[in-house]
Amino acid sequence: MLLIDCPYCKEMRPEVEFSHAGEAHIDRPADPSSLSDEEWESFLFLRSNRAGICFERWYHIHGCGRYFNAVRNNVSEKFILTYPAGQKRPSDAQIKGALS
Amino acid sequence: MSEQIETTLNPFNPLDDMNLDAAQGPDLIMRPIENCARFNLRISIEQLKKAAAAFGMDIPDSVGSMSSRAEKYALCLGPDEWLLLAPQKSADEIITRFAKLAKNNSHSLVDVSHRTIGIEISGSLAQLALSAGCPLDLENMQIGRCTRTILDKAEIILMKLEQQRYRLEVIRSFAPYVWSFLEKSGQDARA
Ligand SMILES: [Zn+2]
Repeated sequence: MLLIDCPYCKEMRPEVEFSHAGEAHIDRPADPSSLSDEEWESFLFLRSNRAGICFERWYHIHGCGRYFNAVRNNVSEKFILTYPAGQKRPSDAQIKGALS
Repeated sequence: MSEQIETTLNPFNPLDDMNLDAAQGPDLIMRPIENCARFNLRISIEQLKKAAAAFGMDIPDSVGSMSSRAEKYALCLGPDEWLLLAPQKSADEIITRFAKLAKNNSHSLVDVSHRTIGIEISGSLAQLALSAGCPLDLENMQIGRCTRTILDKAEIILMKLEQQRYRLEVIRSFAPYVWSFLEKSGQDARA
């Protein structure tokens, strides 16, 4: 079974306790009413959808009940890093460090 | 009319209708835990000491740990979420004390006494029976740890009381299912 390192439980926990929650680091616009329809559409629906290393939100729904962020390779399914929500996106160097 | 209301308000335990002796033996003992008060507490970690004073015992601050004293339990389920268990007779006092605390310290204390049914499972097969549906490494789980997790298709709260004694808190509508599941997996482990 795939184990995921929950940054709040500080433990490797079984995959079945988690739920995927979309792309990470998408900020809600500070002033939505000033956005054009295209910009609003982009915020709501358009995602990077990359193959390879991606930034995702995960939800430890059957555990601590917290959302956190993860750097994951969605081709190999390997979790590279996990970190609490609200923390900055890890740098390329940090990701490289975690991979080696 | 009043008679009808009384009938409607009768407490109902979903395990009452079941034959609870089916798979029991010296190697697997399961019992429903008598009614108790349960509270879901959300408070910032800086104010936890004040909550502990209101609850009347230490409340742990690291996720997955649990403290207990005199039939009371405090479980840290998440970074700002706790489950407090206490004897039914102390419920009113706890509510009053937390209401006082709320005057100056914002928090939420929700009475969830009837949300879950408590089940205790013990005996040399207890761990095997649980492991048939729970993906955690129960063998290496430390005594005194607790967590929300999964048992087959149901979400449970699991407390490890001794090496072969566990307490489960199960959403009440799932209780007959969880009970039967443990009974079956216990029988399988015996065979
Ligand atoms: Zn967690």
